[in-house]
Amino acid sequence: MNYRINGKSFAAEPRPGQCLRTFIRDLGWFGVKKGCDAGDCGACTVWLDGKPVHSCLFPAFRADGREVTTLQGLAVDGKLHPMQQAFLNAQAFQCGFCTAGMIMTAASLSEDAKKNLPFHLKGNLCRCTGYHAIEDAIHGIASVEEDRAGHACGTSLANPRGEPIVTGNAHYTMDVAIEGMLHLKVLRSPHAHARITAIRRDKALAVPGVRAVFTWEDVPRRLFTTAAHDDYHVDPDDTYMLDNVARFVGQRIAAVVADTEAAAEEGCRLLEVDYELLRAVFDAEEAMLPGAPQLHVGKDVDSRIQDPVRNIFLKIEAETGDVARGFSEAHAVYEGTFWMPRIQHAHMETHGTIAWRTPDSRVHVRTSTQTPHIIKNKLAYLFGMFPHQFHVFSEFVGGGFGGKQEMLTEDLCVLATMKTGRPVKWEFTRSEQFTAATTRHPMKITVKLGARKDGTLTAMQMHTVSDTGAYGNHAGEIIASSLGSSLATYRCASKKGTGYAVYTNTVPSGAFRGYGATQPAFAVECAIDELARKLGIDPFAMRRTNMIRAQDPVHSIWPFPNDGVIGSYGLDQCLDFVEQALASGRGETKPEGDEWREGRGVAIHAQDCAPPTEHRSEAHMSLLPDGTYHLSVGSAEFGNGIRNAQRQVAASVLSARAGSIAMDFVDTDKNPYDTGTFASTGTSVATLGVQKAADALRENLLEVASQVSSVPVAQCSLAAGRVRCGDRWLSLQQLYEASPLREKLHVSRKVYGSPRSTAFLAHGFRIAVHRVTGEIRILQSVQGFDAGTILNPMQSRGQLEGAIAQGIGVTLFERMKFDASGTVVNPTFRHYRIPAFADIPRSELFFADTYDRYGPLGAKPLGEAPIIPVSPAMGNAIADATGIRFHSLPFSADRIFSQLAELQ
Amino acid sequence: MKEFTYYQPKSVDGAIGLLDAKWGKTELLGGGTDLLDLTKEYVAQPDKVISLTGIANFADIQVAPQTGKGSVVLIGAGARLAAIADHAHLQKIFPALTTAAGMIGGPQIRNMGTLGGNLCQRNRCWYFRDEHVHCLLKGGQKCFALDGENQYHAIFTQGHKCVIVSPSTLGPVLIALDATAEVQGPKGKRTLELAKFFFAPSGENEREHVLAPNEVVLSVKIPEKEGTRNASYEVRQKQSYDWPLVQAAVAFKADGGKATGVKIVLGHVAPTPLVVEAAAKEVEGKEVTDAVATAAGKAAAKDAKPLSQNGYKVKLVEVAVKRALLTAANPGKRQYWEV
Ligand SMILES: Cc1cc2nc3c(=O)[nH]c(=O)nc-3n(C[C@@H](O)[C@@H](O)[C@H](O)COP(=O)(O)OP(=O)(O)OC[C@H]3O[C@@H](n4cnc5c(N)ncnc54)[C@H](O)[C@@H]3O)c2cc1C
Ligand code: SF4
Ligand code: FES
Ligand code: FES
Repeated sequence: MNYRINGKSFAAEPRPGQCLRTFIRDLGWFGVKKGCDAGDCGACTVWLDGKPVHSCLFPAFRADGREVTTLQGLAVDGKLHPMQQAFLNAQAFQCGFCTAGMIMTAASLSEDAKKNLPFHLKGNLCRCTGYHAIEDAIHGIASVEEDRAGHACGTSLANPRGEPIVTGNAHYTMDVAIEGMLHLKVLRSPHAHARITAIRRDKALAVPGVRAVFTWEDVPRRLFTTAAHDDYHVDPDDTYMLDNVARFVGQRIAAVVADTEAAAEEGCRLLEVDYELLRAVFDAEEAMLPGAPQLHVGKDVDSRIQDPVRNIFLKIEAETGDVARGFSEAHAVYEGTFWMPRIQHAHMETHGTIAWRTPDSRVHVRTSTQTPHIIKNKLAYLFGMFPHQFHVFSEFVGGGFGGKQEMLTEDLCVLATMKTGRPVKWEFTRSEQFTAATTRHPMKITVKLGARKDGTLTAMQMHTVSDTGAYGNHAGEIIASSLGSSLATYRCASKKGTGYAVYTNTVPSGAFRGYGATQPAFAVECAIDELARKLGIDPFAMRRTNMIRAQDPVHSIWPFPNDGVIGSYGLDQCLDFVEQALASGRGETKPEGDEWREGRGVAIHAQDCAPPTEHRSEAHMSLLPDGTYHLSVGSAEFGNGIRNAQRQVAASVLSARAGSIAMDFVDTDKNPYDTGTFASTGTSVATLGVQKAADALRENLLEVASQVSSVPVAQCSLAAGRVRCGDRWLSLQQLYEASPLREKLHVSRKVYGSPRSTAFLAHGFRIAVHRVTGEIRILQSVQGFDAGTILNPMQSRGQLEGAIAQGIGVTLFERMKFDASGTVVNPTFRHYRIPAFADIPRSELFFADTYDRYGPLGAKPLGEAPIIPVSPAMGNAIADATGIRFHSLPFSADRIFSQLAELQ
Repeated sequence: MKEFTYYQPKSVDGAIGLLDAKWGKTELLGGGTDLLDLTKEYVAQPDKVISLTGIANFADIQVAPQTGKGSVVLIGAGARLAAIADHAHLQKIFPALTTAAGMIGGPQIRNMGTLGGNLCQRNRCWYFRDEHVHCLLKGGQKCFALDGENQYHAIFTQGHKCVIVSPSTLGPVLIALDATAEVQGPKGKRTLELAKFFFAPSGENEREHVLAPNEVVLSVKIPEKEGTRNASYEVRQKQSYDWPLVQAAVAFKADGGKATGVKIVLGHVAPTPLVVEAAAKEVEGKEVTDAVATAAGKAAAKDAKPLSQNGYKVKLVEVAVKRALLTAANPGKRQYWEV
């Protein structure tokens, strides 16, 4: 058959039943992506004779004789298509994974269609941006500013890797072809709790192309945790690479490696496994009761599991002040219980790894991760090898949101490559993302608050039960976090908390943007409103009376000292902004009719800028012979924009253009150690390291300049990408050449994540609720954020918008549903429902004017926290509109209608 | 995905010749927006897949004017949803059809999906779509949705053992518009009212329609009736790409301010599209006022028997019917619920 793809002709024969997406990729056009493989996400959009289609649902043989255009074919003679240019100008991407499809749809729209984007972009999902930048791009609005030496910080500089993203030439994890590569697929447990008594592999091994089958008998019998932390002691070692006990539906049972993905899949289906079924438990409170099935019995001190008999990985209990007395002094007390369901990150690029060996007995691991260095150390531990034998790296990573602070695919690929000697690739399907990757911890939280007549809080108490699923990765840090920042947001002498991290036979929970703070913030912020209502106090006033102030200690329930500090304070500004914005009359007006009820709600939060666990980073910076710089830092970029921010900080310190600073993709061979990009540390730790390295280099450069020019150091300075020595100017190239000791031109600095400063924010909604259909319309959405110095305004807005959109998704629609057997029934985008363009309003954003004493150039992180107050602000707005307090998420029509129906 | 062989016959007879007389071994391929997903998930495991795109004129849309009686519209089964949605004349006379077609999926789906595939697509029950669940429709013993996760399932189960909702958004509209389908099998052609096209399956050897495994939908014919008013209104959980939670399609003749020949058909609430005569009666012979439309909505929802998790859909039926009626009665008017 004859195919024309991007203007080139191919004679090729698709496999029977092959869809166009994989066919095009097999021909080397990697600009076509997979987000779902089922027609829901649009990442695979290509044009067929000029019309967009989902290539994942298009039969490849039908493209015979037709013109197929992918993003890589949109530019003509090296000149970008206007829509590609527009996406660059507006920086309408973060991770860039959806961009391939998004541009193909956008570029097909008529001027008329552009007037109704919610409708015409129904077929393209983006999890990162919140869609505003995409809207801007389509309407030709540009946000990128010029890169001028000395002005890097505070400027909306473009992502240095934007061009490959908009041209489809960006290589994500799976976008390489390697000679002789094998494919790995995994058979997953159909049972929530079962012991494997036998696995018969003969039929699987007989499938043509199948090379090997691995079961629990073939892997190192070493317990580990999939969670990636510097200090692995914070997580329980409760997991085997492959186990003979399945603890959730979806757990790995066996891996099949074959020449093709289809053969590997067929091999999995032909494995015969005998199970001895065990009783399973799906509810965290039930799991703690006597007689409940035990998940990890026999693992205890060595695994660091506190009470395996009651399925409790960790119990935390602490009190400051005297809560009992506090409540006795209160004039009003509110107590309520709140539930947060299991939700998924839904980053567009699924998990995946390609691993291979080289003759020097090193193993190379190309992977989609937020924590390459820790993956390296974990692999070394698991395989009993030296860390230096592993080389872990990424190119482009298609989103993370915490989901990639985990080792989910690397280990089996390494195992398979060690055993077969061939390169091995494993890519998750979208349903595996739901059934076998990690999720946010479901929590049940009871909050009790007491206050005097004037609203002053006298006591705060919280009881959290966190469902960690079948394994305890991240469970400890999350349960601690749940008792942390949302209580620390308020000043109150007496605080008490109890938290349980509990095992159940469900898919494991893990790190998720907001890391244990989103769940309690929902409970606490709703409770604050309820208490205010009891006292007849306005929610804004209630918060002003009680919220943490600039000179306050940052403390929650622990009576011992901690390293949380306030490096700059802007919570007051954030709250003022939200109040004024909601009162301004901006936004949409309530739809007509008395079936609609209008309400407004607010929530605030004070978020620590780094985790309490160990966090380290190191930055290397060099002046190169050509007068440009090279910066090397180990923090991962997965759409969060951290590398751009780091370049900007270094450029500011060195009075250089950001464009004169080159950085590599994250790579354990090239970059110094970094714990990983999570828990806001990309800014607060790694970028601080960058600043320190740049400061050191600057000092050295001036010293060298002084030596070379014989002008005192005090009269030397860096300006406009050059060195000024008194009234003489030297180019950096000249400086390099003249430098007597070149070693001085390379510096290294290390930083450690302490003290931990605090970022502040407030979110407000004005909404209309339809009391019959349960429809919620967002009329106005506003967020005020104190992130200290704003390093890149455009990127910062993007982080807020994306996080707010994700927050709206989990507030209004998203929930993983399980049936009675513990199986996820909605493991597809279609039924899990992440927000599309039409679902997300444009938020008004405001940045407080502060300068953080501890952060790089005064900056505080802002990628993590903006999701935190979204759910409670919505809950409070609904309560304001209807008088009904909904205690569990999401607020979808099917879950709120019955109570709404009682409204007249 | 199980491997299969592709065929691309040039004629309908050729296609029929390739089809098996039993369900399972062979499948027709329209746009593939459903079938590809089914095969990837091993829910359909055909040996042969027979593509319909090689057949001449299979995607045509013809409008044949009939003197004094409006026109007759003939839409080939291979017509793309986008072609239906964007058809200027259809937009004028059958806004119910073009709106419904235009709301399906996103532009990419509409550029691929066909009318025939829309009418013959498999249901979206999440148990059915999970290869590992052996429910009634896959030869198993029970319906897992009945007392399982059923928030999107039928609220009018009418005693059927399988409680899916009919997945086709075009079905209810075509029934309201009195359309007929021409189908062809080994014994030749037959014409079928759309109202008799759909079926509530309860076993492995049944589908969501009445066609035999070796029959092909050729086209759909819709008569234009003078003074016809029609509309389709969908309530969706979100405005985005998924199926409606509830849909109401209505058609009537505007007879000097009064509605006659009223048809009201619900979509996505029962195993087949559901004609609600009680609701039509509320409107018949009356002017379509807010009060009349509200009463019709109430009548439409009256006999609903929701399952454990989908009671909310009952209210949505009331709203959908009311809004569909008001839309049809006031063409071109911006309604208060519109954004
Ligand atoms: C994200 C998404 C959203 C969607 N939303 C909606 C929605 O809101 N409403 C809705 O109605 N649908 C929706 N769909 C379903 C969509 O697949 C159908 O609407 C589409 O029209 C199916 O047409 P097709 O030609 O692609 O079908 P195919 O996949 O080609 O075929 C579907 C079935 O019909 C059979 N078939 C096809 N043509 C014929 C024929 N001529 N005669 C007999 N049998 C035939 C096939 O054998 C197959 O079993 C959605 C799909 C996706 C992926
Ligand atoms: S509703 Fe039908 S398809 Fe779904 S589980 Fe029940 S029998 Fe199966
Ligand atoms: S990959 Fe094709 S639509 Fe998601
Ligand atoms: S930029 Fe859209 S998914 Fe990441």
